[in-house]
Amino acid sequence: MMRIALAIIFTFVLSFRLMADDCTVGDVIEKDGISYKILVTYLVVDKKESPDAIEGPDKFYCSGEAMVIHVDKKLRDVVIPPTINRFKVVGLTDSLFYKHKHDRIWLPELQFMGSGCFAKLKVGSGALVVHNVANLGVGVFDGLDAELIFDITRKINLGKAFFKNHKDSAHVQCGPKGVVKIRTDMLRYIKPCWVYDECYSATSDNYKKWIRKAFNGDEAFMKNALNDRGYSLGMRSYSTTPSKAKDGLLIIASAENVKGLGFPWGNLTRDYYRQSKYTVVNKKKRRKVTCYRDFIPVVDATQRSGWYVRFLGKEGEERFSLNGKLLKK
Amino acid sequence: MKNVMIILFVLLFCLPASADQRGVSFEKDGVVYVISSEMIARRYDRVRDKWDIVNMGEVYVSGVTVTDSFVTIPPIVYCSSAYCRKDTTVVAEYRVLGIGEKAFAGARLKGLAIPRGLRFIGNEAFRDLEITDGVLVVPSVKKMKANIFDGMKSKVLLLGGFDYPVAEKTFDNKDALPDFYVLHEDRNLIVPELDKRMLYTIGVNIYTRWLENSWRTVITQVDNYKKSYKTSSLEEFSFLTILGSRERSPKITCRYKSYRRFEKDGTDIDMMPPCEFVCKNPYTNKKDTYDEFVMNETLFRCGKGKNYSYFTLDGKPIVNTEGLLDGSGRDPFGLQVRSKEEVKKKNEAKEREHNLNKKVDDLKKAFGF
Repeated sequence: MMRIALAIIFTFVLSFRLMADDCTVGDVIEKDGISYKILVTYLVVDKKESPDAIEGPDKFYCSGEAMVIHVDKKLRDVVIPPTINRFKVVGLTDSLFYKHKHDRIWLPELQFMGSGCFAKLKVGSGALVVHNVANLGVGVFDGLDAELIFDITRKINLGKAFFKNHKDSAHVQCGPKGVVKIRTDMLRYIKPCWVYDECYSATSDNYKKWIRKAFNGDEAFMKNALNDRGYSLGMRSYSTTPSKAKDGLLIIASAENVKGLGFPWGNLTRDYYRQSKYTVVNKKKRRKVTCYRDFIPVVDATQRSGWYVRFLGKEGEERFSLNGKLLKK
Repeated sequence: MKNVMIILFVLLFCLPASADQRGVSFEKDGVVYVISSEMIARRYDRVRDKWDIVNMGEVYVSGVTVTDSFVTIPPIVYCSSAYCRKDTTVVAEYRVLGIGEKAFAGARLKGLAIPRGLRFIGNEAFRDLEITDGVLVVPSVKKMKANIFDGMKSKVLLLGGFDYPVAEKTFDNKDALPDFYVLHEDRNLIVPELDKRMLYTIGVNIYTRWLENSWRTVITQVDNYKKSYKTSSLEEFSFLTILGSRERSPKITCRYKSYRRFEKDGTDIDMMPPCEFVCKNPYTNKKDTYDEFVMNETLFRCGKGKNYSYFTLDGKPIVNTEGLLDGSGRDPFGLQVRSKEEVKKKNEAKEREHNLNKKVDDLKKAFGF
């Protein structure tokens, strides 16, 4: 009993998580007048530091997904970067730009846009450009005081983006005050929505003219935002042993929606809508794939390599040495 | 200045009352039309169960006399014509064939409504045209000539048709072209010569609103004359006139002269090829082709060049045409067959003959013959 207690204390004292950005879920990052809330975190490695295998527990970094929760109303130009401190910006919260007035807005490709996100927003340049977005809330563009350009390259789920959340009738249409514009080839993606009958489309130079006009013809503004895309989020797939080794663990970090809680936007009082997911493949037994919710590299002097990996899943805690051997608790 | 010139032109040559010849212009509701053909045809009136003799023809638009107004080009325009048989219809009905060269060049209009089924739009027809309402709706036209839309600042909504129209250098001058809009579904059905990358497409709701704003009048009129614009192809242009009520009455068919050559070359598109009238006369048992044809209650006249022939409604040729002319040398249809000098000389000769006869009679009386 004493030995177990000592081992736990030893592990607790000596083990630590070495992360460059010490952020946890729910933390808020503020930068350039924009606030981001961390939705989910997971561990990644830097490709330059660990090109083949992870060299130590200190080579992990905290990465994940963040959501924009506040934009300063005083900002003239709003640039929402694709990444913020190794966190990928995945969405915009409900009513983020409600009754705001900005000159230009740059948006990255997003996973979601909350309900009423751009409702009654006034854009000085006269147009709001929306790129690929996986999911849209209710009445996202209700009363948007600008044209709306769908700069998409794949199918988007419009859902109830152009309908009001009306109790009596779920089909009360609402859209921007200006016209909706889209690239001609992408018309098929919005065909099921009533906006199809109310939109303009163009190709080639005519379409580029629209985009340029939306950013007041400022190429630098567009390039700045595009350059941000190059920010490295780190490698989400890594191995505990060199790639040629026949044993070890291959770990793939990702995030998933929490079942039953729906989409991340909506009720912001709930803390966890997304959770980390680590898919672990044992190199020796390729067919054996296990998913865990949490992953902690643990420093342990008793191990030959000086550290081991610990996973938390549905079945509880499991510890593995770097060669993939299950350690006894 | 241009409008003034057009008005002067209209006043000098094109008064409606005198529009009885091909190439003559007349103005109606701010639009100047040029007559390209005239004919008389019989048409069955289902309501009255009776055949009517109608005066009809074809015109094309050659200009506009108003500014800052909504101008409507109807599918059919009615105008009194000296060519009309006064006892049948007061006015002749002219089908609008197309829009002539530079017809609306430099004009400033509130809106312009163009009907469906036109056969051509001439060179530079809308050059520098300004539509203050913002949209010019152009329906599918069989032939579109060069630089029609050059210099236009308004949007142009192209309507899809059943057939691909033929455009000849219409969209070549890309720098001077306005923005072209089509319905989403029509983007592959528009003029093949038009680069699809230049097109903007719009949803059906926007399309309907634009049409309602700028095309309401024409839609109503087209509905009224649906039959007229449906049968507007060149192939179908043929009118049969049967004179009299007996089986052996002459049959007159009106058709386009040199139709095939016109289709092939596309030359003189503003001026349609003249009509010719084929007269199958059972009385003489001959089939002749004439350039002109006109009729009244008792006789009809056929003309070829400067030669005119007169027939009774039974087809019997009238040899003594002098008897048909009035004192001023005009035939019953108002044609000046004898010139005024000839009539004057003839009258003088008659007077001299009369005086001479009088003198001879006086002498006879004096000498007791």
